[in-house]
Amino acid sequence: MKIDKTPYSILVVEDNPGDYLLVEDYLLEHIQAPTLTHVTRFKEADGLLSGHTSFDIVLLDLSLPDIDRELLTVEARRLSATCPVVILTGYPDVDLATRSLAMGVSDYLVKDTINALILYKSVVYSIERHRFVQSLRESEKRYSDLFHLSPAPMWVYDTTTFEILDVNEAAVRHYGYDRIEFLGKSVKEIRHRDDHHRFPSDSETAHHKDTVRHITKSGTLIHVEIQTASIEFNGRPCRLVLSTDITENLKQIKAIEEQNKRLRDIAWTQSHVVRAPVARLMGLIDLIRNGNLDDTERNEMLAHVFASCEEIDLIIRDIVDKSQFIINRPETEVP
Amino acid sequence: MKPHVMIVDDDAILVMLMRKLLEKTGLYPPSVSFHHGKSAYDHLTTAYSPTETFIVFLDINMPVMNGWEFLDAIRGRVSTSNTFVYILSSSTDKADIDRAGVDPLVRRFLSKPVFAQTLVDIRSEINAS
Repeated sequence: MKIDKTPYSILVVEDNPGDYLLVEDYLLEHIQAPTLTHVTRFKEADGLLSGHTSFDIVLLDLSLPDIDRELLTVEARRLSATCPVVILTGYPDVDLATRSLAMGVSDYLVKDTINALILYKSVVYSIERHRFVQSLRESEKRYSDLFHLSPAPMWVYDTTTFEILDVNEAAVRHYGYDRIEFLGKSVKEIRHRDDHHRFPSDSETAHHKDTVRHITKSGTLIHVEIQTASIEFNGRPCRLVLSTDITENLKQIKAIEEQNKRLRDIAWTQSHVVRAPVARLMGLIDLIRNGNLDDTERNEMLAHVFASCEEIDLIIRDIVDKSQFIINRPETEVP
Repeated sequence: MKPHVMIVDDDAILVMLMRKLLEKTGLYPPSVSFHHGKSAYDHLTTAYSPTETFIVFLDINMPVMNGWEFLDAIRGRVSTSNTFVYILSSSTDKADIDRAGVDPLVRRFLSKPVFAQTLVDIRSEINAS
């Protein structure tokens, strides 16, 4: 078998010098140049592991003078969160072995049964498995962060009971209920009664989008656009909800619509109201020019001309007032 | 037989101008005028006869019954072969022009003010049909 050239850094916790030499021999048989650190007490090992030194793996003897075996298996579990731990023991104890492995220890080896190859395999497998589990944990954490640290309010609810099963920080911030309050609620409690009939049924598409009204802790009604997706959460059929508060947008749209109405009024005024006296003026002037009028008629028509001019003047003032109102108005202002 | 000429407009000056114009050009006097669609409707439905000709100069924006409502009211009660409606409007609004264009009762959309030449054209139009 080829010699492994990876420069493994291995911490061996073993109080029996003979056993240590054996472990060292076995290791050197398949690993070219491991960095071996040997300590004989659990305290020393714990100190090194919580310090700056990093190890690829810990080989831990289960019978150490400064700690009993039961406590040591618990401690081993703590250590294995950061570094793979392989337990070496003189006693074949199937129960303890099973429990240790369940608690996160990478391997449980009985000294009498090991040889160089078994130890080497255990070391390499444990390191690889630990690395894999770590990356899986990080990936899980990343997904969990995507939910919990998302800037948009999100929650998960059970589609059968409507119970809220998880909620993120943005939802807590936006709605005002703390996490505990949220988790004790039904999604119906945060939704306006009149919108209760709009929960998507199970048969509906996996993705659902709607605009509904929600109620915050302070009792404020907010308009939200919600997008939901069906997911399985803790084995239960659920929906993941993403909520976007559109209350402000709606207010702005309303303000814009009102502004448009004023603009339409101006347009209408220009088309109808302004043109009426202008048409009258044109007609009057045409009559004065081509109508063969006598002096009395002519003076009468001129009086009408003046009246129409006054009317135009008033209309223009009105348009100026209306335009001024729109021009002077900040765009973001909401009535 | 002389046609019946009706001017339906709530603007007294424009009615006066229209009457003067009809007088001065010697076209279709005498005319009758109405301040809103309802009184014009009452008159038309009473005076209507299939053998006579009716010419209506109709304003759009009027109180009580506007020009469009007047058209809907007379629809089916008068024939387009002897009833000629001309929309008279101070509006140059495209929506109004389009609406007048598709109404079978409406002969033409006239933008105010109406000049003598327009009335001459209208007379030839009516005589031709």
